[in-house]
Amino acid sequence: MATGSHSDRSGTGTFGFDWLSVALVLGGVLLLYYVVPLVSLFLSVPAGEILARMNNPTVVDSATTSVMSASVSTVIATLFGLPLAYWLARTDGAVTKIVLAVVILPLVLPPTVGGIVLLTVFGPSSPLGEAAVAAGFPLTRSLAGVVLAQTFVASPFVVVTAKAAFESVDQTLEYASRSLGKSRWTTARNVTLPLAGPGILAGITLAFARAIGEFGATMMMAYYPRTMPVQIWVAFIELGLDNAYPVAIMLVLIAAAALLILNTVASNPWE
Amino acid sequence: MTEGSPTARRRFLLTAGTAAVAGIAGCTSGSSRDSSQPTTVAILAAGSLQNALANGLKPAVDVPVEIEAHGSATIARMIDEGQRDPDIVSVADVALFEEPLSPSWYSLFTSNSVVIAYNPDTDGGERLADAGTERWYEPMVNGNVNIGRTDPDQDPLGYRTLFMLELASRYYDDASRLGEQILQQEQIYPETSLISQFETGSIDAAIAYRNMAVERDYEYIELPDQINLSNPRYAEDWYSTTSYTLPSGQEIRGGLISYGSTIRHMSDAAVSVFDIHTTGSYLEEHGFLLRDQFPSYTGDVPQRVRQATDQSSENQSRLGGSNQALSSTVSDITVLV
Repeated sequence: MATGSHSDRSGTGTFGFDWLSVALVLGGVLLLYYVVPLVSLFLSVPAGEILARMNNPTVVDSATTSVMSASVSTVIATLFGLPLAYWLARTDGAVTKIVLAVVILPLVLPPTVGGIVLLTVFGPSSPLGEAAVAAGFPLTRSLAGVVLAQTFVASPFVVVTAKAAFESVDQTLEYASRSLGKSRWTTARNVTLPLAGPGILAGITLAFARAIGEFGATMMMAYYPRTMPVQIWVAFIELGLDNAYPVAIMLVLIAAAALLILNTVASNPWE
Repeated sequence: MTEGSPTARRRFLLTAGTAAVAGIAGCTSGSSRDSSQPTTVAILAAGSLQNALANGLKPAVDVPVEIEAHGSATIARMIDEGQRDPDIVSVADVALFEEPLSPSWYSLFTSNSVVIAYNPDTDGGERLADAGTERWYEPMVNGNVNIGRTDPDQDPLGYRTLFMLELASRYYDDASRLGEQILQQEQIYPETSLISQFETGSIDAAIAYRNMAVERDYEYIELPDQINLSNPRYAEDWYSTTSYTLPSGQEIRGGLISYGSTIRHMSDAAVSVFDIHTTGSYLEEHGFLLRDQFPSYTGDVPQRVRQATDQSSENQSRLGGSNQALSSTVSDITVLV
């Protein structure tokens, strides 16, 4: 396979190597490794066929479930995540470190393990789960189950990214506001939040993208209603790859849209 | 890496290279075409066998085995498409050995029955328990029970569920068109995780194999022989009056539940695993149904397989016409072209 073109701008260095170009060639291998499979996914099925399959009720249903649940999960993550991020950004000490570690844990936990720990709390045999079932609002095999799973794995993105955004706000501006007699809440609302806005938006976007893609924990909490990743897996098992392409392509497009938002409205935390 | 002198590094690489070559040679030398000591034996098996193989067969054999389980129809397709290349393949319906797999021989080694496993701790499960063997379908028809089943296009349990409901519609006086009234798309789960759905609260009851309920200690309703697909007496004139057409166009007719297994890559290790797999006592312990005529063979069975299994099974199956007759009783296949 050809790697990235070796540019001929090589300023003859010590050994006639332009090290930046070498870096690009090596990096290009990895870049191709990202791009080629994605391109081949889009080339593997004729576009017309994909569009036709997109109208398939199961595909539409799973897309609806995914977008709805991911939206709710993202709202919950934002409501509870922003205060936590603000607290983490404005305190310092051993407790802060421990809390931050707890926040990051769901990110490194395998999602299936996430599903298991959630089942121990919300499953039908747990007191909470039992009470919910009795109230006619089951926390598994329901949209609520999907939301619980997605919130668990995706919300840390809001906290971690928003924490960085709050920390990047110049604290002297906050002190100025406080010295003019404004309360901490008013200051946070009128000074800190607007300044940290793009970073917070980035965290929210990342959380949404992660929630849309969540599979392991979702499958344990709620096999039904099916989200797109579960639907992809089912389609693959049932009839193989061809059958799974349309939903997979849809998910790639959603991920790409999230990136677009990151690079336009929000401030990409990784730039 | 630390800066070593060039000669030292070269010597190291040379040594490492030599060692690697020697190692590879050591692995390959002495292994004939028919190696007596392969590293592992890979088994691709029906989902309903998963637990029995992992916790019953695995401890009983000396050879390390790798077990992967899916719906039997899925397995057949995986091998057919070249996605998997196991040493031993076992399916929950020998019909799938007619096509697409078509091995030159197979062993029909055990049977099972369709039951309704339920979770007595849920309202739906309680209703089923109260209804019992004679009226289990009533709470299902009324929509008071969350049922789980498997996909008829992926595994035999799925289409056997349809056969069972069809036979039940005829068997019970006040039941009719049970399939239409009970079945919904949202009841379908993968065979390997069907019974686990009790613990996630997704279902109150599952139309499953007897062994699935026995293995997990779940309460279950035994169904009459006329509808549970386990009694050879009813196979020919009664079970076979039902049928289901797979997406491939293959029509499967109802019959006795019959598990089949064959060796795809012959080796001493594979034969020894196959022997325990098809004749071991673990099958009964895990709730499978054994009959006197098991294991029975179809096709051209290799001598070494016959010898190994004959030594361990007291009831030596006689091969020949009677056996052919049996297997045709067990599963009748009509291919629609």
